[in-house]
Amino acid sequence: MNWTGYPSRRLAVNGLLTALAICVNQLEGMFPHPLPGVKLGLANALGLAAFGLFDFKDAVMVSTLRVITVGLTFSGLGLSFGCSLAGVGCSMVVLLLLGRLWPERLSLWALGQAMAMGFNLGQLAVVAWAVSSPSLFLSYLPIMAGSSLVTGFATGTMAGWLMRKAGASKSPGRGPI
Amino acid sequence: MKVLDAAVVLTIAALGLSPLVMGVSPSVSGPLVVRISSPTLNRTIRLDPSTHLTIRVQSRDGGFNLVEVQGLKVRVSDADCPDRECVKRGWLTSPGDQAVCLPHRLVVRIEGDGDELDGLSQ
Repeated sequence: MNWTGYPSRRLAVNGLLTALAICVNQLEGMFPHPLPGVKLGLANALGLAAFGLFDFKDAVMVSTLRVITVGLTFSGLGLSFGCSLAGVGCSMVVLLLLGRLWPERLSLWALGQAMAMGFNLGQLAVVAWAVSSPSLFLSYLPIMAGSSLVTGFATGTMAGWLMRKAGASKSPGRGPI
Repeated sequence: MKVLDAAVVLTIAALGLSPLVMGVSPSVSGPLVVRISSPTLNRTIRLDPSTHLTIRVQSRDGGFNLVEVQGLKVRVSDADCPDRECVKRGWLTSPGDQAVCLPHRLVVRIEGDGDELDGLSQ
């Protein structure tokens, strides 16, 4: 690995990805969303890119810093913060489990979809808990699964593009997508 | 396409379809009702063309949502929650339609009368 052993560069790129994630997080508010508090999760692309470029812990850093920053500055530490935190937690668990299958056996877009599903399940669980209605969880499952397939594909593609821009192809073993 | 891509897509699709297969999602049996559930109120109202009423749901933190029933359709017509997502949801008309107010922990949902009825129906 070239620059994974190069802390200052790695830190700089992670900072950049976090900043971008915060921007995307704000921009995606313009899209319609099925439930209050629930986000599409397009900003997860930046965490995925951090994983692709570096390692699992970089993805955790970029994703959690984004959620905490957005919570502290814009949306407040209410339920939508709880949704995002639970969503990111779940998507990171999925990444931990499936990440090692990429790139040999799993495409980046499929990894993005699996993470999006984790993200959506986490968010949905928080909303269902908040309104104490388990049936809400089940009734929104189909739309959340459909949305995961679409947004996950988008985040995977975005992450692949970002990684090419950041020069991931220079690091051996982890080519783009 | 890599070996396991299809497995991911199929797993997500299976998860998404599971409630439909299990029959939890909109099954319409009998006349339509609207279920209003919040920490302070649980009420089921039969929908028929002559029903016209507005219910004020008080939330724990002192806020409110106005649930308006107009014949066979229902909406949250006003609320003082910060995001007003429940009001923006607009009219609910078919079984499975629901409006959620997260700050006030309120769910308004149209269902068939046979679906998971609780003892508070009227």
